[in-house]
Amino acid sequence: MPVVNVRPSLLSKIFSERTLDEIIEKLPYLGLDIEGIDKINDKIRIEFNPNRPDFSSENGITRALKGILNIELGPPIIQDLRPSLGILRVDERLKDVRPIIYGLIAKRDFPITHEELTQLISMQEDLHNGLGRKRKKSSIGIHNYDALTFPLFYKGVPRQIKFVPLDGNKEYSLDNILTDFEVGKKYGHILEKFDIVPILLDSKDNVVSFPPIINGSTTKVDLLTSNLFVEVTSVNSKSAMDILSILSFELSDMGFDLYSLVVSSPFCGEIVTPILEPHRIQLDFDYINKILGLELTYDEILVCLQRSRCEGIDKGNGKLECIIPSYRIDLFDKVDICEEVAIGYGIYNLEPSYPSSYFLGRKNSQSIIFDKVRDILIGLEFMEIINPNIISKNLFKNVFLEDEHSGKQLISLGDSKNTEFDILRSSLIPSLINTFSNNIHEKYPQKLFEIGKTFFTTNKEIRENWSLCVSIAHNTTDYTEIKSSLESFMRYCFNAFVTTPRYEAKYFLPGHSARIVLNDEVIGEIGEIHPQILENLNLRTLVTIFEFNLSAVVKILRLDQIRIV
Amino acid sequence: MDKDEIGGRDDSKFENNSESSISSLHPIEKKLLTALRLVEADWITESDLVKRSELTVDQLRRGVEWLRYKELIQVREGTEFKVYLHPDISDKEHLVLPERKLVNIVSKGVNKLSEIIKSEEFKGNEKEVFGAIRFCKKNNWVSIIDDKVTILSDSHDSSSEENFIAKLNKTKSMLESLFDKEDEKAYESLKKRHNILITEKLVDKKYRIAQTSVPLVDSLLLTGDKVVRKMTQDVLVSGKWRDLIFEQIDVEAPLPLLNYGKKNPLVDFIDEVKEILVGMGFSEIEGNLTQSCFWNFDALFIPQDHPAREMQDTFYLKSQTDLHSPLPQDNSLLQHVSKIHRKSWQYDWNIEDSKPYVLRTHTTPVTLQYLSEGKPEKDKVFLIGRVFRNEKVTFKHLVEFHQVEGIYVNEDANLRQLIGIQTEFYSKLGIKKIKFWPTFFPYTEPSLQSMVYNEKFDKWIELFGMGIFRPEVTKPLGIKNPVLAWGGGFERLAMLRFNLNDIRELYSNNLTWLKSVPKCLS
Repeated sequence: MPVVNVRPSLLSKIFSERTLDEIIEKLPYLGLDIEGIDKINDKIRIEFNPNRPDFSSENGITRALKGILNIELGPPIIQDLRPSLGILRVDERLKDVRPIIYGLIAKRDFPITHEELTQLISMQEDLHNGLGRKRKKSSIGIHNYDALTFPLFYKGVPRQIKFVPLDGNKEYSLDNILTDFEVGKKYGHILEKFDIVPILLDSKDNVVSFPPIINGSTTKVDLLTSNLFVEVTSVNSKSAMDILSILSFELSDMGFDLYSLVVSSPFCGEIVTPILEPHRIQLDFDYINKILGLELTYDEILVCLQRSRCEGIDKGNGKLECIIPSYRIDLFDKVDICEEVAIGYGIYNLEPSYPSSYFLGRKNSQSIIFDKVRDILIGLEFMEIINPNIISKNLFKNVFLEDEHSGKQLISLGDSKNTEFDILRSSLIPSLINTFSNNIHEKYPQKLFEIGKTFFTTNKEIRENWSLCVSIAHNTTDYTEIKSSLESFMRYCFNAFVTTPRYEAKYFLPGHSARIVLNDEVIGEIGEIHPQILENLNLRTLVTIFEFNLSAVVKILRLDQIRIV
Repeated sequence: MDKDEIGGRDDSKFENNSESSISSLHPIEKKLLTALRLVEADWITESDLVKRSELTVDQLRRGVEWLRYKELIQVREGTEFKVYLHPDISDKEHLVLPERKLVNIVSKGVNKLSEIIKSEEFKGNEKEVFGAIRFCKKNNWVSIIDDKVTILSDSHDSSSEENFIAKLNKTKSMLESLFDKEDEKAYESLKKRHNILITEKLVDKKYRIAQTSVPLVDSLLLTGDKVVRKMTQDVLVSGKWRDLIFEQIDVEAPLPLLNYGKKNPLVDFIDEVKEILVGMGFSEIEGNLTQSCFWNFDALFIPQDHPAREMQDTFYLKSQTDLHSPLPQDNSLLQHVSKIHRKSWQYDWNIEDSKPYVLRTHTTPVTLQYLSEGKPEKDKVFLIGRVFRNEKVTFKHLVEFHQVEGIYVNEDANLRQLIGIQTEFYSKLGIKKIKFWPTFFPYTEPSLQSMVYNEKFDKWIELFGMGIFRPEVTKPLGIKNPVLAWGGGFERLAMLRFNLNDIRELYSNNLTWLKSVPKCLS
């Protein structure tokens, strides 16, 4: 989850009537997780959920706190957008590359402070990673307004074009930037398949930015900058508009006056951005009470909404129109409004209630059967173990001595962070023998069993079976002992008889292994493990084993139709 | 099972052993007592006892422990000192003490002190000469008048120190406990002098029969044709038992644990939680671990470009031949989901991105399939099953773990009831202090997370998440009523239950641990 740093000193200043502890106590009730409080460095680390990118700055957090602490109710006031100071034209050639660009201009009479710049940059990073999907969907450029001249041109150009990138000391071609710069390597893949790439030029043909990679050097924002130009380029207009809204409220909170930008695009005509119109959602106010299990009056609901920095209008007939500031991009359905009411009401005020309807609970038949299987095996002195479904190919090969087992194709994992997890197991045998190998210092005899899933493919689809694997390790275990265990188990658990026709496999001692057949159907195999496998797994004791398809047994014996009498 | 196969014994069990209970002897004990009895009241060292009893050191030590608790023998854990000549002395055989050197010089005719000091032997070392004089006087070997040294007749005798050194030369080393009066005197004197003796501390155990127990030992050692240790089938069938006396065996000694079968502790705990849920009216459902992206993500209103769907977090499955996960037969479901994604997230939903197989990242796809099939108006179901995350394994993260999940569908289901269900569930697990915080899940709204207070760690721990399924999730499935859903990682509960700090322990299959977890845990 993304993290934002908030200064406790700032909180104490804004909410001077409250102690810091009281303020901090409220944070979780806004859906914020406190990661750590560092009073010495004046820092609270707060985790926020990705659906609330407006929480990616101090101002965003205090905006919400003001509501829940009754300091400011209703939507935050944002000054009217001042008329356009600039025009931006979009090149038709960017249609399939990155067609959308929105922007705004923010002005004030004193320069941006170091703290504000830090907050803005960290917010930009969070928006890039979240809503921007690591810049793939949208990316933001923040520039010194005074260093550029309108109108701007968002243009598709060949990769040979050169310019001086941010913090660079000479001109580089776009291609160079993509291959040599850190940001180029990281985000270059976004432009990979295009010959034409986007750049933003001002009227004097200075490169303002090379989205979504890097800004130009001429419009760099520093501590002398007091007027900003913000652009968002994107492949998705909603994402771009959402980001711009969030930035608008942030800049407004910093005391900037916002001016609009006119974007003239061959794809969507002329559009004035940002669009800060609140969203509106209409719903029955009974619905809110029904979902929350409360009996709030209309006025109470209204206050709850206001504490969540929204507003409500009575539309008559029990209808309520909820007005949502445009930075709240996470609210788009009736249920979202219910949650805002709950947060405004205070989750801690929700008393538990208990459904009165009667339901008869029961385990499913499979659990009931598996329990009985366990009972019998435990009675036969076997100890249950559990292993992961994902095993390493290495272990698989060490046990089965080839890439396949019974002709079943392996199912492997696309990209695992752990080398010991590669493939889905098609048999429980490898992990079970591995368990013996991990317990060589324990007392013998060791008698283990596992009930687990096995995986194989038919017709390009994956099938899953429950499998039972039972194994014995000690110095004199042999086919007779394991077969006696198998027969005892089948007899005591199912009153069933199996036959064991001869069958050879590389991992069994020749002449000491068989298939397990139940009612003419092959369900598994049994035998003495081949010494080569024991050696592969550093075992110095003998191992005998059987495994069969438990799902098949359930089907053959019709055990899933549970009869009590 | 014979007692000598017992590993560690819990000594505390023997503390109040009364004499009357000693009625039998183990063969090891018999051998020890027989050996000790032969030397009457003398103390025997361990090495001596090993020889005499013909036992191994291990057997001896075990037997000694038993006998000691029975108060049949005494153990003296005395410290002993071994004394030998300093290894730096080059010619031990001809070691000449300074006082003897002095006598030798004087007897050669050099008798003026100043000359003695300058002599070949003392090389001007005044200190050594004065030391020599001190010992000569002590031994009454010389008299000194003014500057002149005269030899006395006692100087023909060896001093006790010299005798002692001679003895050491013969025996190489001596034990302090074996010193006679003369030795002691010499030793006291010599040990103060530099570089002559080395005293090494030895810890030595010695044993003897507890003198008060001699009669009891004698009676215990009594054997005869008529005394047998064990009942046998032969003795029974032949009727010999009528003429035999049976040795009283040790009925109190603890014995090795038997091999046994046992349910896995985690499975056992899962069963307990299932019982609780069944008791609360939930019924169990089950489903596949391999799922299509459609069921794992799309149906849960997770947009196709959502970071959670990336390979870094989710295991995508592949095979030599292509894999095609079966999408729902119900085409209207697909269309409905597609429409909702397009409308809410404003992007081109692509059916191809729904097709890849993944290992389920949560149990919710199974719940959704259940809802989609039955379209219940009211229901209460749960499942506990494995889920998978492509994470680095650490003490608190596993790639594969269990999730418990439950839903309650009803016309009047609401958020307070969800809080109620959770509170009841936790209270049945013994968790009383709970709080709820708002949170976010893509597929529930409102969403809460529960924090529970753990007394052992004295801190709040995040447990299950919960919420009401979004209409974007339930509507395409054909579910009209609110669905309360809750769930979370099961291992976190198990760690609290089994007192573990490392989650990996649960799957280590370490037999010692598996055996050590009692079936009934308080």
